[in-house]
Amino acid sequence: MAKQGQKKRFMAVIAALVMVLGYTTVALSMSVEASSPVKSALSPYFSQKWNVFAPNIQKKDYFLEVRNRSVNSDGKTVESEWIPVTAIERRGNKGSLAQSRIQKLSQNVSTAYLSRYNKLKSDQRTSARKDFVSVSQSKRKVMSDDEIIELLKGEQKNSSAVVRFVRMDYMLVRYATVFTEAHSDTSADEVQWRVVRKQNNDFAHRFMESDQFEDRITTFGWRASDAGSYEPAVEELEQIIDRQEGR
Amino acid sequence: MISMTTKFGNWLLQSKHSLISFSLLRIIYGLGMLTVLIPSFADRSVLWGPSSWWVDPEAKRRGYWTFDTVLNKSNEILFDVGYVAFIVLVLVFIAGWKTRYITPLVLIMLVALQSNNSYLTNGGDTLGRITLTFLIFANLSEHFSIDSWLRRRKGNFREKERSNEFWNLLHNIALLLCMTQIVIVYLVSSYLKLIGDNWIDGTGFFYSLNLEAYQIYPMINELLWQSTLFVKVSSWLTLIAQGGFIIFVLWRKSRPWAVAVLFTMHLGIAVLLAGLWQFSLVMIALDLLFISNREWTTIRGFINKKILRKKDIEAAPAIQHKELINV
Repeated sequence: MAKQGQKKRFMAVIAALVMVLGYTTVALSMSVEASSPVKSALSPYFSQKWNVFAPNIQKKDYFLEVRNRSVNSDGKTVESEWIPVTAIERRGNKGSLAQSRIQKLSQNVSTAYLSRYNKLKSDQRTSARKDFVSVSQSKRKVMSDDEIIELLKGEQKNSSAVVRFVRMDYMLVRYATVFTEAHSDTSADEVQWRVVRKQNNDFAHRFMESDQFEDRITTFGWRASDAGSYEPAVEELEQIIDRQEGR
Repeated sequence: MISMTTKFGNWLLQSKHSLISFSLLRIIYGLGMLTVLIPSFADRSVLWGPSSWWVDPEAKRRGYWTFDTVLNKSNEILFDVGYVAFIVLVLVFIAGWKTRYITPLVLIMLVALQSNNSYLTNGGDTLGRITLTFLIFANLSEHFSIDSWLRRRKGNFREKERSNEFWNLLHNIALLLCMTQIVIVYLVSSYLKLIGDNWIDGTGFFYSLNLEAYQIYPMINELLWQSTLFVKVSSWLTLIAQGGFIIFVLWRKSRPWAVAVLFTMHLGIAVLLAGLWQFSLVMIALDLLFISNREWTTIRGFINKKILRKKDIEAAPAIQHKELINV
């Protein structure tokens, strides 16, 4: 009986140690940048990063701005003003102790998009900032997904980085289409966006009146707007914009 | 070695540990989820529902089972029903009714919600999701719950089930895994802070207050970062509390104080930095797991004697003597 109890205890200790040591390996491998077989196998669910404010802390605010263009009844091409998506998403949440997650949406999307953009090679980044739609002699040419990938890939061999960028680019086309439509109440032929990075004066210069850092703006080219956008999303966004703007 | 194995084996098998802390964790986790679900209610369709269809090229590539049909993106009404059902489930979870069955359902809903839009999650959401996976196997409703109230009313007929060695083992392994997770968070984040210059000189703490993305009351943040003393002392306290966490919690005497400092720090993060209530509450709840039932009784006695100035300290009905053997 005593022997059986001892065996049970031993098995319990082994089970606990295997679980704790196993999970420690998993969690630590997720927390470091280097890739490993453990990380790739378990990263979707147990993925975790604890470097938000260290060691290279986030010092910049990211703002997504979008605009659209269309041909009016006189046949002239009309461009809208830049619409400050992130500023609108955040506006209504200032002074509110518990905020809606809307305030993180475009900021997180634009940082993820820029991160993928920065993983491209220098000449690919130049191509990524070009228009993916062109108009010449009244003829509008929209580049297909394959043509965009071909343009960005060029002579390089980093197909996966290109595809990952194009996938997010396509997502932003969708969001920019519905957001500009909700904001300006007009549908558009093309959309464009830019990411503005603002950095406040650092700790040592926090009382300095003038700005220590200039805003950094990355503007991407025109994209054909999303023809198959989800219509109710425009209405939902209109309501959000009204709420955030206090209209 | 044999004696240590026996001791640890007994600790694992004989009773469930940190039952009061786990019960508090249940309530705090529930409140954390409500701080996401309620303020976002009006924006739910654009955030996680059908109007967030534009994130699907990425959201569909999560790499694990995401329970898509639970919070259905293809139908507004079904999505709304799922969203409201999630809020109701969280309320039942907080109340502690049928917790053993409700906890996995809450986890399924949480995974479904987070999977619908990966651009809205932060560290708190990730931590909540991972630890809730372990907590399915823990007893979260021994105190402050409808389950415990019902058990008291019905007497001790479920005592056998509760003291089952198999369930004790699962509960205690879940406790160890949650503790491991929080130690890893503190160790990794303090290590990353220490290898850079930004936290030693106060820049890190300053920018956390000074980024517009995190400001709720910009005036308060501005008032705080103007003081060099406040910024420096807060930076160093953060480094000491996080870096020394494992030492402070292992030493019994410093344990409640370490938890109190981190509790204050996380409350400060929740109030001063936008969108971090969920993160702060999850961290607070996990910190509390290091406090045993016996220490809760001591803390309660200390509060009664020193703060409330009560002369006779009686055990609260929720913490009966027989339950205190589960320390």
